[in-house]
Amino acid sequence: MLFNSIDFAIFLPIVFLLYWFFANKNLKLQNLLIVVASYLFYGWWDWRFLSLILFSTLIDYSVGRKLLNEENITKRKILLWVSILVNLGFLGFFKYYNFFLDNFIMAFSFFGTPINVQGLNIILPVGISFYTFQTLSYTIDVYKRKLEPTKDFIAFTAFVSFFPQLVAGPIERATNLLPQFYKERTFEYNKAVDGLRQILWGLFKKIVIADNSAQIANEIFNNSADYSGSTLVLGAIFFTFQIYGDFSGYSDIAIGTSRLFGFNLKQNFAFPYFSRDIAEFWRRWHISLSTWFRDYLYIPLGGSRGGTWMKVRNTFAIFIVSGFWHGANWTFIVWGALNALYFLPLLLLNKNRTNTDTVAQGKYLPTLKEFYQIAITFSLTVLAWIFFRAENIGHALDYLSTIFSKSLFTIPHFIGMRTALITLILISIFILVEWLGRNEQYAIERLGIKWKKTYRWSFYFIILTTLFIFSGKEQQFIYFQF
Amino acid sequence: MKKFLIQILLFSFTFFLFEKVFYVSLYVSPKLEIDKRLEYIINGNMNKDLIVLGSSRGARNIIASQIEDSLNISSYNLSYPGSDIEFHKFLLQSLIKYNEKPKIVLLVVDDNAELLPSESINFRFDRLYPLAKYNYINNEMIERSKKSFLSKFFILARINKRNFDIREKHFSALDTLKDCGSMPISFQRENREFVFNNEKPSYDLDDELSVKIMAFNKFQDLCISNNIKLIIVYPPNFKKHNILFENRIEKLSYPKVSSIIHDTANQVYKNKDYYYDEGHLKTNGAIIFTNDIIRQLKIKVRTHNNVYKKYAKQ
Repeated sequence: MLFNSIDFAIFLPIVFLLYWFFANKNLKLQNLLIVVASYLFYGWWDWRFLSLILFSTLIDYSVGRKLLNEENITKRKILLWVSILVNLGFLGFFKYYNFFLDNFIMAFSFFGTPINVQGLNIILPVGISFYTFQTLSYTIDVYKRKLEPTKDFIAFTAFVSFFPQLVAGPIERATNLLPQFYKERTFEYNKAVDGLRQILWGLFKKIVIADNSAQIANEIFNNSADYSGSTLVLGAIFFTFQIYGDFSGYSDIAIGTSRLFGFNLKQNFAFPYFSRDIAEFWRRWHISLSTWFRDYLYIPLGGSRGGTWMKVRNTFAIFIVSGFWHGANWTFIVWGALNALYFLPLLLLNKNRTNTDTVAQGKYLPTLKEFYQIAITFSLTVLAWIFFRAENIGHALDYLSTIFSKSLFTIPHFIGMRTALITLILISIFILVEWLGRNEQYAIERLGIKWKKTYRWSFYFIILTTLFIFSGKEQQFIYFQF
Repeated sequence: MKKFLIQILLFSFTFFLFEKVFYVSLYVSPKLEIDKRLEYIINGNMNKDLIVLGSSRGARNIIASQIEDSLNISSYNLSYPGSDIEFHKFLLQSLIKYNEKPKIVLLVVDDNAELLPSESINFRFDRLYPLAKYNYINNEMIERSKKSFLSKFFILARINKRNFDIREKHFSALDTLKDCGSMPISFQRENREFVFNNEKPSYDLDDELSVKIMAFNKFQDLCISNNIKLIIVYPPNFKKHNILFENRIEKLSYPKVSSIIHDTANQVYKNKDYYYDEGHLKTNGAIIFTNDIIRQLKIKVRTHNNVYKKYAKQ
């Protein structure tokens, strides 16, 4: 079920009313309702893969229970590895089987011994990368004794399958989300209204910014051989806004929906395109995934405590794995490696934590230096997104070589110029609103909060109206494929 | 909770009232259009004996007024460039629903994209958007998943970006409409190397789309059940006639359906001077091809009672 679908617009109020009226004041019933709603939400897409979630839930719940009383270190490790192997095994099979197979075939052919093995027609279960990492975080935290394993199977099932963030995150840590299933939740007016506001902004990002940008980005990327360098730059910029609007929009809707049910999820995007360097960008982009890799991969590998070689190795490891997490394609690996290259100089020069505050704090405009830093960081990011969006490495390299050719200095021209112009205006308004709200959890969290109701509602009416009028061709959320 | 629900209801109701303001743009939108054919159809103003339906190959290759003058049958070319068989079926069913039924329909088929996936022929939603104020049009868009059922209640859900385009519309040099409908082009496409394609044509059944086959069959059903004489027309291309495509269409055609094929022996159709581009004749070529059609129509309509009587009076 897509957040931007009529199905969800019907589903959400029904679950909301059942939750607060039928199941109110009964924690078990509320959790059970969340489980049923979540399985329905997921099964709406493909019910067959519900068994995967259920199996993953059973394994991690059981491993958690066993770890509670197990003191033997070897046995604890075995239990941990059972969880890791099962979860990553599913992920590996569904997401990476054909990729590895194709590359083995290519490698054997390269060395003169061609092999003939047929690939499998595997459907990638939506959200598998997200819920796998979420359940893994539970088992690892229990193993490290950072978290008491739960006895409440329903609460644990609800934690794994919680529908607002089941298919595209944010990847919640058990330490943050699971305890919320144990506590009685009472309806809070302000929290619910805030949730609706965040949902509205998320829908704007997705439907207006991402979907409209997607139409242009798709046209240019799909026909990149026909276009000039300047047009390809525009294509890459539109994709940059598409992916941000798409993914951060999804996160906003997920967080806002959770608030309607009394839950607090962590911020997943903190205005990353206003970052002054790449290190800041990665503290602000897909925060739940970056911190996951930091805590469960980078730090266990030694983090940045060791010598230069270890810093380089660990940085590349985390970025490449992060890239590979996004998809079974070399383009994602190169995207990760490129970001590692961007990040390394800052790390080695010990400048990776220079910009930890919000840009131009307390001011309307950035300084010239800040503006320059933002522009450079944004340009580097746009360049990297080309690999992320390209069909394959060859396509990305062709795309880049056209950009860095004489045709870069020609006037862009492509099919859909008028749509592009309208979208650019919408993006400009969007950037302005994001800039004004950059200190908040999401851009319109405080915008107009003190206005008279008439003005405030008018503002929401304008957003709602743009949702209808400027809705681009409906696109599936990009991160569903990850 | 009570306060929350009251506020939500109040907000929704206010928005429901507010958004009705946009009816203005829905109302104005059809008036700004220059091609009003679809609106004429749903307003019952398209009452003709003979209707030509097709894509640009119907629009630019057949002159309806020439048929009307020769056969004294009121004729209209209702072909839309870039339209597919599903759109033609929609036009025909609209025509039957709101107007006097035509007696003859010439369906111009696209050699060989008629039943195949193609980017150049589609269901022309852009022709429906300006007419979204009509429930009939909106329902068609709901059925085709272009609009949600909310569009039955919300103007904003019914509206499209196109409805805000208040610029005066103009015909391009390629899309001329006259009183008899679509007309051919008078000039030749520039920078074109015309080389007659003599290659042996091919046609792959595996590529066909079931949805297009269904539309083709439904089109025939509509004609049969409404006692409309359906004639399938194969206009010339600047290439060898595709007999495989023709055989396929013939195989799918019902027994009562007849066809008109351009005179493949006529050297005119191998002369680039009669073409706008490889797929479309220009005016001089269209006149010749329309004469071909008239000649064959004279024979075919004799078997069709209603029109024959009218024709026979001459």
